[in-house]
Amino acid sequence: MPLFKLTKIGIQGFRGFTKLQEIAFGTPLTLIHGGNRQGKSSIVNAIEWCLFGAEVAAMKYGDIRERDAWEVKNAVSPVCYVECIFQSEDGRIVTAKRTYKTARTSELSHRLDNGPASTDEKQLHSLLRISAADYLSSIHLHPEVIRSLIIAKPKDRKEAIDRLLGLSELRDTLNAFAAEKPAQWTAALDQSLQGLDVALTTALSEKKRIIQTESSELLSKGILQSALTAEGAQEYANKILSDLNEFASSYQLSAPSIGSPADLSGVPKFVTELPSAIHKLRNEHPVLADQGRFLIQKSTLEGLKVGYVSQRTAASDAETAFANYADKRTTDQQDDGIAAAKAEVAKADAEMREVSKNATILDSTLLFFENRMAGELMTCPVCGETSRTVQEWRAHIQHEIEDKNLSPLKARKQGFLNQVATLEKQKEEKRLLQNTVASEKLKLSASVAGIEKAIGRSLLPSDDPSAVLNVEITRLSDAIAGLQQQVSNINSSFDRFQRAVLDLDRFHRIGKAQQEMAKIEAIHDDDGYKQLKLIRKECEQYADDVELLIDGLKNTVTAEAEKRLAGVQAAISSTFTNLTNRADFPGLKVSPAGDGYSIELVSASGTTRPALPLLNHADLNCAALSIFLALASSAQISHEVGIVILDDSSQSLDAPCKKSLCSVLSLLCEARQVIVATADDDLRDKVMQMTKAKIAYIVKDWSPTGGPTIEVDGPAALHAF
Amino acid sequence: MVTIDEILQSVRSRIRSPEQEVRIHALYQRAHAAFETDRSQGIKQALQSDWALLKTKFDRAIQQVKKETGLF
Repeated sequence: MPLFKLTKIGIQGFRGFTKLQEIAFGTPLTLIHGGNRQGKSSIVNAIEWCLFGAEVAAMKYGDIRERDAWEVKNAVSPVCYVECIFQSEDGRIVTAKRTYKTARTSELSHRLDNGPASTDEKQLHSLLRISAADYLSSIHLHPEVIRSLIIAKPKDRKEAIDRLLGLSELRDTLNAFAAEKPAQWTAALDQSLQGLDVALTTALSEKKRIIQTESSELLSKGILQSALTAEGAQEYANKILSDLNEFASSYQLSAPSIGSPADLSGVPKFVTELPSAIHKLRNEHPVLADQGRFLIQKSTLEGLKVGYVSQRTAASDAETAFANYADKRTTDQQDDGIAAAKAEVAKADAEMREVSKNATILDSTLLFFENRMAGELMTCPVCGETSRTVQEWRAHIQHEIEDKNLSPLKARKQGFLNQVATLEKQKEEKRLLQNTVASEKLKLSASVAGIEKAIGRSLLPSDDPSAVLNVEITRLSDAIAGLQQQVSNINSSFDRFQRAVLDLDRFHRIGKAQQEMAKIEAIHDDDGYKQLKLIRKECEQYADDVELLIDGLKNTVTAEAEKRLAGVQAAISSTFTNLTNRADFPGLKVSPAGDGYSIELVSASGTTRPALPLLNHADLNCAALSIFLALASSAQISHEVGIVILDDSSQSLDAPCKKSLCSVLSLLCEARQVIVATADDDLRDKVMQMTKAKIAYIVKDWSPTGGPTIEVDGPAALHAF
Repeated sequence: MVTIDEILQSVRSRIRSPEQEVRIHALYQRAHAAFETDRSQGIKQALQSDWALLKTKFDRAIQQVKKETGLF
């Protein structure tokens, strides 16, 4: 199969590259050497981005996220593209150029020889007969794969081997399916169905209980078991209506305006309307109306009687109080007494005014003395008396005014004022008693008028209203007693109808419960239930399909792994032997086991031991290289890309190992174009010493604006391509 | 990439009917397309979306049965 080799790559604006740089590749060997973060990995990653674009940019493996949030486009460069030129051993030339559009999109243009350009991604992959998975398993050994194999997490180790075997995508698909739990889905449905069945069973029990309870009530009333049906309920309703009509007719009452129910569903309305109809008949019944009227009349008369007796007592008490009042004088006599007392008051006032005139003179005298020295001896300017001091004159005049003249007059006047007040009070009390007597008599007259109105005739003065009322009350009591038997019979009929309403409700509950039970018992034959079962089956089918697919994926992953490993098993072991040069366990065997892989060391005698406890980091790195190189150089490969890319593959390898690696690579160069990217000076030196024709570059002096500087490394004579 | 036919081949004896094979084919195609769109959540979302539709149908049917009994 004529394989394609990479002859040249042009990179601009990709990752750390700012300006256009073109790199020619040697056959069979190209060495790209440089320190970390100088751009050497970007060169080899540019090849896969050119071929697969966002498909590989989006790939993630375990905790190692080499391409996670890959900044494909360099921020400094106005454009971003990678162009690769491949040439096959039979002279065909494929040019592929990928131009960045967005983080998730890019545009591919490729052509074969001088043919027309195409943008069809699949066409390019068909031409090279390669997929992204193939590329990552047998073309480009990323350092992340080696690291995943070396670290202790079984999950990451498994993923690394999957990737080496090109099974990552299949495994991711399997994991995504297996993360779902179809059995749990259907279990949840069964729980819902179980809930439905429990609800139906509970409902059935409840209906049975209703039927039992209500039936026992009706059976105890002599109703036959056979009548306890929906039809029985309807018949019972008809019977009640018929009895009610007959009852109404017998008393010449208008028949109730309700119709009998057409079926069981009409019974509740009938049960609701019946009490109103019974109530209406009761209100309209003449005997009950008479009884009611008599009772009201009797009650009214009894009330009037109580009122009359009470009023008569009140009037009598008022008269007695008036008659017993102590002051027997007439109003005129009282007025005369009041007038005489008031005249005395006026007389006292006149005398006081006279004294007051004298008091004016005394006041002036007092003022006179108050304007003199207190101890001065003075003669009174009014009476001429002498030999008193001004102070003594003052006290003397004060005594003359108050004590000697005015005080007796004031006392006399107050006595007459008191007499006037007492007389007026007595007059008022007597007036009030008179008013009370008049008022109570008026009330008594009103009470009598009420009695006359109630009995419908006037009372004679000789009539005792109380006695008249007694006669009327007795007459009404007799009338009521006369109706008692009829009333009792009629009420008994109405009570019977009321009880029948309750019984009819029981009939209805029984009939309804029977119908609901029949519906519940028949639910399994119902279309809706059948539909539910069909959907349940559909759900189960879906869950089964998913389960089967999961099992199929598991089987396929295992089978694929077995198949791929079987084809390269000998090569893996041989490469491992060459790389590690272990005397105790020269061979390596990788086989699928469960969801992962078993890695075993094979002794010279052919016995196997679990490898992981016996392998150091360098050996595990060698194991990764062994699997990869075996797959990469396998004759079974289906693609036509004859390149093997090792990126930073000498991790943890000691000098002898690196030497062995170079030996293996020398062999590989016989079949493939080999590209080695490394920061390892020792490996660089060893590769440079390989006798294969090669071209070597040194990548250095990366800067954000200028990108990397790429120079040819070593003597030009080495570059024999 | 392994094909669905290869996957089904490994469980061929458990496939009950041609219809089931067609269904699984369709299921895988849908899931694979979803995986291509979103590698981390695509299949999960596709399966859950399928199941949500079935579950909705089931829930509606169970509600219908409940409604028909007149009990709920």
